[in-house]
Amino acid sequence: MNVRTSVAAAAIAAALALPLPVGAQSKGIPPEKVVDFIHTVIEADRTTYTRQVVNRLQNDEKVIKATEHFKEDKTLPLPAQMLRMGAQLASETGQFRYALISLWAINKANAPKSDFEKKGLEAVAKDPKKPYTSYETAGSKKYFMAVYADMAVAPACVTCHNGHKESPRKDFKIGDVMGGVVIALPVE
Amino acid sequence: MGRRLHLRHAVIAVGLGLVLALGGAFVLERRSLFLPGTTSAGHHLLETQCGACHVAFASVPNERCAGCHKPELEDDVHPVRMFDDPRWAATLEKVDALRCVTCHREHVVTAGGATVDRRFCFPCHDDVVDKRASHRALAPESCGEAGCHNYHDNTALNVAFLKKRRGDPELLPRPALAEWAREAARPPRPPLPDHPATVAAAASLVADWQGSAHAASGVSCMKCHQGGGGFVAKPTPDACRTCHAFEVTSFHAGTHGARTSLGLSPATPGMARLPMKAFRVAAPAHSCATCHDPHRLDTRRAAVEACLGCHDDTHSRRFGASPHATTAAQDPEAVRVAPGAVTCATCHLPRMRVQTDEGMRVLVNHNNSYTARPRDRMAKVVCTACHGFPFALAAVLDDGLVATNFRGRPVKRHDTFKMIDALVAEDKDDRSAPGGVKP
Repeated sequence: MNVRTSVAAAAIAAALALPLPVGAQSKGIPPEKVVDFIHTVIEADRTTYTRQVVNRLQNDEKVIKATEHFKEDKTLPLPAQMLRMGAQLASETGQFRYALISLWAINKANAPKSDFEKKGLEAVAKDPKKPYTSYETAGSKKYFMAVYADMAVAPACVTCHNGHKESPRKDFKIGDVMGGVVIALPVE
Repeated sequence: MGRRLHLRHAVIAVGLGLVLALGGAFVLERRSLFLPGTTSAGHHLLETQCGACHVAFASVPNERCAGCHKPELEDDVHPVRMFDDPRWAATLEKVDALRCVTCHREHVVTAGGATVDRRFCFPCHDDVVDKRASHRALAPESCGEAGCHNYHDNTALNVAFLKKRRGDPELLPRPALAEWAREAARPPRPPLPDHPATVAAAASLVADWQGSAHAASGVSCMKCHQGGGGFVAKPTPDACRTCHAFEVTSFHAGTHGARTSLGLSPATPGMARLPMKAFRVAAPAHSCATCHDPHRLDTRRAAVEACLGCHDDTHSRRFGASPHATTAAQDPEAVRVAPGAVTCATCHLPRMRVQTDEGMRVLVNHNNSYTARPRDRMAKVVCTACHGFPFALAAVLDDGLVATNFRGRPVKRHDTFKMIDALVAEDKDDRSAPGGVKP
């Protein structure tokens, strides 16, 4: 009877078990690698949009601007908004989350919200080559989290942030770390 | 012993009686018995269909709200998706921004539909007092006051739009209501009526149809009257949906059509809380044909007369004597509203540029609730086609002017524009870029 109960319990548990994120499986790809993959794509798309769309059309060719109220103004979304819109769409799959944060955020919503984010941003500001990673618990769920450095890749980045009235820092130069991309991968 | 037995029987009898009565009330659609309080306006049309919002043994899920309210949340600045992120876990302990019912409890009537503590903006936006000198003296519960900020839709109340339109005159030099695309040239000969010979169609119906835009665009009898078993005398809105998908879908999201979309009997004037003409209270249910004669396609009638056939509140009754009505006066034989005319439908069922599979098109949004609230939405979506935004906002927020159907003019600009003026002045002092980006 006991044996049967435990077999049934194991079968139910197996049936209920959700597929783990690749990074969380013992023999799968390690979470450090998974967030690296995700970040590579985010960074490539972000750099391309900033250089080939915003900087080219706004700063170089001067044919269209990028503004915060881009729908109202019929302009291009800011690179930060581009990342956030993509992040919201990606989050609908429920697999992982990512966001753009900074110690010098113009919008308070994008300032560090936890010790982890603050330490992460400080770490990547010192050493942009290495992501800052850690296992964290948020809202009773466990995550593998990583912060990657976000750099000024084009004049558009620095002219906007240095020129914005509400920007807390106005001495950015191309190549500076301006913030970070934080990725949260749920783990069991 | 005997007394205890009696007592027990009595208790069982009362219990059974209650179960039967409540069960009966539930099964026999007398569910208003279960309502814990007064349902808010609009939702009262659905209140006996508990399952329209409630899921058994669970809180009302967001998806149930989105079923009707999705179009209003298209430009939501606080979407749930944004907060469903571990970054916000600590903030969510202060404000549960993940569930609609945190702020919108039902069966309680409140102004604007929100039941949340009005200071709830502050856990996140307390920096406003440092950033905006103009906001320092304001009470923390005043953020959501009409004309200031909306939690969801700030397409009108945003700095970029307000800065651009703050200096508008009362009436714009070139009014620009969205107009229909020019109709395609009529085919040389409209199609012949193709109803089965067994169906006796009144000659006047056929004549109406032959002169209609339906005939002109090749829509014959059987395009609408075709059913599974042949000719259908009274097609349902589903027949209209084949070609008018946006119109029918938007109709179902407003109070006129919400009941139908949930499988309830269609709304009737008798169900309304707004004053309706007494003789119309038992009028037939609301469907496409209530306002649109399907053969004559008289959209001029649909734009005013159809509304005033039922609606009997002060605002409606005064339309005829309103300044807007003078723009709508025209040839009584016309089946189309003249370009530039302002009718009931202009504001309450507005023509909008809508993204469709064939690109952007001007279509009528049949969701009668869309521009009703927040009122700043109507001011932007409709009024600013002809009026300056400061004038329009002040007018739509003035209950007295709404009641007289805008006979007269608003007394003053909304205080929002004082703050925008201050912001523009600050920008001039500040050498750095005002909004947007300076190359």
